[in-house]
Amino acid sequence: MKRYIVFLKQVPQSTKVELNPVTKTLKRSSALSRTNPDDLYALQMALDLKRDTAAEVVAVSMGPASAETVLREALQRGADRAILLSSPAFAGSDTWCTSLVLAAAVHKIGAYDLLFFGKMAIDGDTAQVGPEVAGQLDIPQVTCLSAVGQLTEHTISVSRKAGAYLQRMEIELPCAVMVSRENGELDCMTLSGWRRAQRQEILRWDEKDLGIDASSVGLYASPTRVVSTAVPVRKKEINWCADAAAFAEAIK
Amino acid sequence: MEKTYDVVIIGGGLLGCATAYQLAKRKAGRILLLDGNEIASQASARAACLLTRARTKPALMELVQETYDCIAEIEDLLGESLELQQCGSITIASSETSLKGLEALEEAATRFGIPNERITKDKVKALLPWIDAEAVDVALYMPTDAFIDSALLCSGYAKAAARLGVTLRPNCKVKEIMVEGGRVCGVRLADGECIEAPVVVNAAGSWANLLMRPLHVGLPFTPVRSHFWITKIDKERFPAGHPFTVIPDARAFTRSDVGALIIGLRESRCQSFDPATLTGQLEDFDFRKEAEWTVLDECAPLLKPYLHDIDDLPIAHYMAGPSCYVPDAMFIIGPVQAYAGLFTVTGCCGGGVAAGGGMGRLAAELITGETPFVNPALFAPERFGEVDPFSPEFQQRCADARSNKKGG
Repeated sequence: MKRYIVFLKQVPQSTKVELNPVTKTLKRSSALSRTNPDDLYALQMALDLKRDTAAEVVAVSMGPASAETVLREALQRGADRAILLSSPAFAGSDTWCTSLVLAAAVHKIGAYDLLFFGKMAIDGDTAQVGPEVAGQLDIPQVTCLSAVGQLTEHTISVSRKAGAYLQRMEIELPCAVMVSRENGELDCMTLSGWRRAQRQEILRWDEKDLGIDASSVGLYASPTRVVSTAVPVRKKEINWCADAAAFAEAIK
Repeated sequence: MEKTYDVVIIGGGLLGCATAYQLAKRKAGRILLLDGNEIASQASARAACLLTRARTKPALMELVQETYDCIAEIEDLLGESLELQQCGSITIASSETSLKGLEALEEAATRFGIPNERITKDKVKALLPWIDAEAVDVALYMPTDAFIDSALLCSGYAKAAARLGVTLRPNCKVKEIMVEGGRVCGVRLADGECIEAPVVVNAAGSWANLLMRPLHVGLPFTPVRSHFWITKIDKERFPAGHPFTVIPDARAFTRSDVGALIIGLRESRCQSFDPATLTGQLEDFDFRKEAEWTVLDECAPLLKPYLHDIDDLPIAHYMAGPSCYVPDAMFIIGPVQAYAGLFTVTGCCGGGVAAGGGMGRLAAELITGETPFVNPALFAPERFGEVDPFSPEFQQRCADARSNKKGG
């Protein structure tokens, strides 16, 4: 049986989020949250493939305890099992350190055929984590995925957007694919799916479970330095015109 | 920009806009309507949109009829449709208690001249292809009931008000209501600008008590969560324009929505919110998202006899919003006695779409000193005496008003 691993991130629902004044990173527990939209399309693609091929779909998220809601949603949508990667040691990880943790989780899960990532998270907008995990694992990766085709024991045929062209390729398994919302439609969720998801157990792994040195991940191990963060100020100059004559004068 | 008006209305939702329209119709002078956000963008854009005519309280039927009259007037004035959908309604009874409620409604409708008829299970099935009609004991059909897009209706009131001379200033947050010597004298905006007016109408909905707090006035309501679910589109099963239903035994209502079914459900213990926790925009407010599934889980067994596959029905959307509930589930309309010139129109109790036109009319009549078309004592802001809307005990009383609602 094949195994597909889908990575999902909890992101703020609104653009109005608080920032940690010291680290300049997002205070993830402070905002209303949701599952990163592209990640849901990645999960949907894995579930669609599962319908055609016997497979296990494993949902993985890295984040604080609240990220469990993202995994409950994945289970409700049809994932077979879910793993939360959570530890104070992981806090503040940039994309590089995040990819180290995710790659370690893949090793611990065991044999796999496909890794599914959303193309980009709506909070960081980097689109780096999926490609970096593929790099850590030294497996092929397909960015800008357009569609998946036939899946054999050792390969998958895919098409990807390359500027004005569509590239068709056959890729060796295992590989990583980056999926965006252009890649299909999400199935609606059901109450029975929710009930099933509430009964399922979510595994929790920290750095010890993953065999990672705590000093190699997290804010201080991250090569990225956030020097400052600012919200652009948009100011409109408004002059109220009392009548048409005043308006005509104003636009002269 | 003018700094002096005869009336300033705070709130560009259904009740503020309807009041603006009704005041403008009565030529009540220079009127300014302010909202911290876009007009019709907050709770008024999250409503279930039912215009149920029959009510057991006669005054409420008058208020709803006024809304229907406003819709016709505004369409005429603006020369555009507000897209009223006259789909009819079916109230369903499957127990002795709900049958009593249905009979009271039937009697009220007949007395008020609202067309109504009891229909057979076969006719129920013909009108509602999705329903399991065997669960229906008695069904009361009211063919002239309708629904309307609440945001479109709200914009309609605002556009009509503007056409009649009201100044609309959206995205203009009011910081405080100014008072002097026991009467209102205007409002101060968030940017410091002051606008003078001898009459101020607080129609700020969920936020209304935040503006009253510095004046030591507590309006007797608090925001209580209302919510509905929208299924995936299935045009054969949920054809557009089929009657909306009220199913008290399931604590539910349904209505069609472009080929999907909107399902409103009421949990056994409704959730109130402290107004002090409100955010400036509802999109940033936490209505407790988990309720999407926990409340559906609680209520589904009640709805299952009518909709057997509710457990496996694909749910496409969930919408939560605040309804301003009052302990007696009646509106709050009228002068605030502590300050001359200060009025309020709020406390929609989930009926702001249906009764908004009438609520605006009553508010306008009380402001202009006309003879009110319904008894205003029913809606007097001070009818509970002094209340503290920021206390958890009072908020619970308001939540209970929704929990104990007898209709859908």
